[in-house]
Amino acid sequence: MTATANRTTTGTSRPLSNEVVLSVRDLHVYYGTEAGDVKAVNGVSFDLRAGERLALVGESGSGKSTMATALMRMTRPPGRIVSGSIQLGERDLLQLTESEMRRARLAEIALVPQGAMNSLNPVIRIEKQIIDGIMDHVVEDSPVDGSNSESSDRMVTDEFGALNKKPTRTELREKIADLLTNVGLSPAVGRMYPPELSGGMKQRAVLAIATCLSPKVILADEPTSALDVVVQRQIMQTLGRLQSGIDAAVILVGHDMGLVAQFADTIGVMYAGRLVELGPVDQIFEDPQHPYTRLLIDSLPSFSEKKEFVGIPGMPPRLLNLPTGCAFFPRCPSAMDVCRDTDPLDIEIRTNWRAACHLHTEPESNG
Amino acid sequence: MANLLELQNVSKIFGGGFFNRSNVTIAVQDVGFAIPEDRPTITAIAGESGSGKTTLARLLLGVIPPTSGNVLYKGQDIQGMSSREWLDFRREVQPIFQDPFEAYNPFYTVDHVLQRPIRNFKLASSAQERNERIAESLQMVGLQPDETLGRYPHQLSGGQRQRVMVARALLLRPRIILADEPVSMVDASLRATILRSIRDLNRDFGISVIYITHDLTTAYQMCDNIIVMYRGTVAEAGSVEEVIQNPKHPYTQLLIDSVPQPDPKAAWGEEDDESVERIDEASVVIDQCKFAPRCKFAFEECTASAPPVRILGDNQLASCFLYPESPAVEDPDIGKFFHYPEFEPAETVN
Repeated sequence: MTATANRTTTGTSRPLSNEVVLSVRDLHVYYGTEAGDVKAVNGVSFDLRAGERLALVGESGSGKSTMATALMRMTRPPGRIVSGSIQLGERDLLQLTESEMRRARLAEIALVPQGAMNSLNPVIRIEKQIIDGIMDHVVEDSPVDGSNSESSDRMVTDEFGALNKKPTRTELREKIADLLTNVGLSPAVGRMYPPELSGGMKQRAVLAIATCLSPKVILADEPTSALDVVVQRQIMQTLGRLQSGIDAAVILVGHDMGLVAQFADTIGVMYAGRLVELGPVDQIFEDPQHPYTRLLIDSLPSFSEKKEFVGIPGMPPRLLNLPTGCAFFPRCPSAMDVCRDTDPLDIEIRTNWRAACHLHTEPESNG
Repeated sequence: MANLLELQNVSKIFGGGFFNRSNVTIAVQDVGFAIPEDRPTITAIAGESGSGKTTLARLLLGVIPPTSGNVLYKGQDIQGMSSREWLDFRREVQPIFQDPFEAYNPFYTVDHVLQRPIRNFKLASSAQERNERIAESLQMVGLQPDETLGRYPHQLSGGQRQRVMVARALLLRPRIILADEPVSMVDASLRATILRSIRDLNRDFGISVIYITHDLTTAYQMCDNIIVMYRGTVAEAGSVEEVIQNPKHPYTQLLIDSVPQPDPKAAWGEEDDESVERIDEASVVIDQCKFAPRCKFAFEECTASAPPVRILGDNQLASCFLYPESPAVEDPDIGKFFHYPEFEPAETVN
C-alpha cells in the first residue's frame, strides 16, 4: 500500500460542523404479513450533520435498506412507515403531501439506488434521463419566458424543491455537460444509451442524476456492490468529490466494512431494526462499544495479518414477534441476565458516540 | 511429483466463426499450471470481471473444451475420457458455485441435493448408510442435520444454503474442490464461517481447493498460492505472502491498493486517476501486454510483444517488461514455482 497516499477522499479526520441537516426521530417501519408485523426498522433516531458521511452497516435483514427507502418516503406495501419523524431542514418529510415529497426528492434528498447500474432505463439516452429529473421540478407557475432578467441566473431550486425557472435547451445542455464532466465522464456520454456503458460508467451516470439539483442529502444504497475493486474506489472517490462540491451530507448504506472505514466519518451499526451503535469511524474501529460491532470488525479479513476466520455465531433474529430484551442477546458473547428481558437504552459513550448495550448501563444502575 | 489436475497451455476463444473472424473474445490465453497429487493446497485464481477466471473454472471442470491446449486429470486428457473415467472425474472434482439460491430447485427440500449425488454415484448401499453419510457431511460444515434436513431452500439462510452446498461437495469425497466466488452472495459476517469450513476440508481431509475470487483479502487469508489473471492472461502468480505483500506486476499493485482496508487509518490507494477507467477493448491485440493501456509504467515494448513470465522471487512470477534482468520461465507449469505448505492434519475439527 502506498504510504504517501493522501486522505483527501476519505473523511475521518475532516472537521464537521454542528449544523444538523437531517434529523430522524424514533422511526418505525413495519412490513405487514399474515403472521403479524415484521419490525424492519424499530425506533431509529439519529442526526446527520452538514457534510457528514454516515455509513449504515449491518447484516442482511438488519433494516438498513428499509431505512434508506423510508428516508426517501418510498416504502411500498406491504411496508409502511408507522411512526417517527424525518426532519430535513425545516420540514418533516413524513408530513409532506405526495406532490411536495416528489419535489423534495432529488432536490433535497437524492437516492443512488442499490444495483444502480440496473436502475437506468436501457432504451433512453443518458441525457434524457438526467433531464427527466430536472424537468420534474419545474413548477407550472415558473416563468416560462427565458427573456427576463432572472433567466441568466443559474438554475436553483427553492426550499420546496421547485426550480426557479424553466431551463432553456442551451442551459440544459450546458448543465448536462457539467454534470457528466463532474462525475468523470465525457459529455458525449449524454448521447449514449446505458447498454453502451461499462458498469462503472453507468454508476457515474447515476451519480450525475443524483447530484443534478444539488441535494442536501445523498443516500447511497450499496452503490458499488456489483463493481470491481478498482472501479469501486474510483466511484467512491467521485462520490466524495461531488459531495464536497455541493456540500451535501451522504448516507452510505452497505455491509462492506472496508468501504465504510475508508469513506465514512460516522458509522451506524444496525441490528434487528435498531441502531445499536453510532459514532466516529476511527474511534469505533479502535474500540467498539457494542459486542456486535466488535464481532463485525473482528470478522473482517485484511492484508495485515493472517488470522483464523472468526464468524459471528448464530443467526440474525427473525423480526417477527421479537422477544423483549436485547435482540443480540442469543448471539452475544458478553450476554448477562439483564439482557434477556430488558431492552438496552442508548447510552452516550462520548460526544456523538452512543451504544445500546447493557454493558454500559449496568454499573450505573447498581451504583 | 504426479499431477492431479493439470492445464497445458490452455486457451479459450469465444465468438468468431466462419463469417466473423475478427469479433472474438480471448477469455483465457495460454495458461498452464498444475495441482500436485501428493500435496493438497489451496490456490486462488483472482481477477476482476472479464479476467477469465470463471472460464478457467469451466475449463477445469470439463464443462467447456479448450480451444487449444489440454486439461489433464491424473495424466489423462479430460476431453478424451471414457465414460467410466469421466464419472470418476466428475465425482473427484467438485464445484461450489457462486449463488447458493440458484443451485436449488425450490420445489424440493434440501435433502434432494444431498441424496441425488449418492444415488448417481452409487455411494451407499442402503437408505440408512445414505442418511448417515449426509448427516456426517452436514456436521463437518457446522450444520445440525435435524435442523437442516427436510427444509425447503427458502427456509434456510444464504449462509446455510451455501454450507449445504459445501456439504454436498464433501459427500462425494472429492480430491479437488473448485469454489467459484463461494461467498460473494453471503453476508460479511457469515463469510468467515463458510471460508473456514472450506479451508478445513483442505487441512483435515487433504482436499485441494481452487478458490476463484475477486476478493484479494479472503484469498490472502485462506490460500497458499495465488494466480492473478488479467483479461485471460496470468499477470502474476506465486505464494500469497510474496504476491500480496510485495506485488511486482503493476496490475496486482493497483488491485491491492484499491481494496478498502477495514482500518480508518490505512490509506486507500492514490487519488482518483481517470485514465484507468476506460479502455478500448478493440485496441488490445493478442501480442502485447493486456494491461498496457491501463498501466502507468507502460512503455513502447509493452505494446510491441507479449511479456514473458519472469521469476521474481522464490515463489513469485510476473509477466511484465519492468523486470528485464530477471530470468524468464521455461517451464509452462507455473505451479512448479508455488509454495506448498507441509500437509499436517489439524488436531481437532471445530
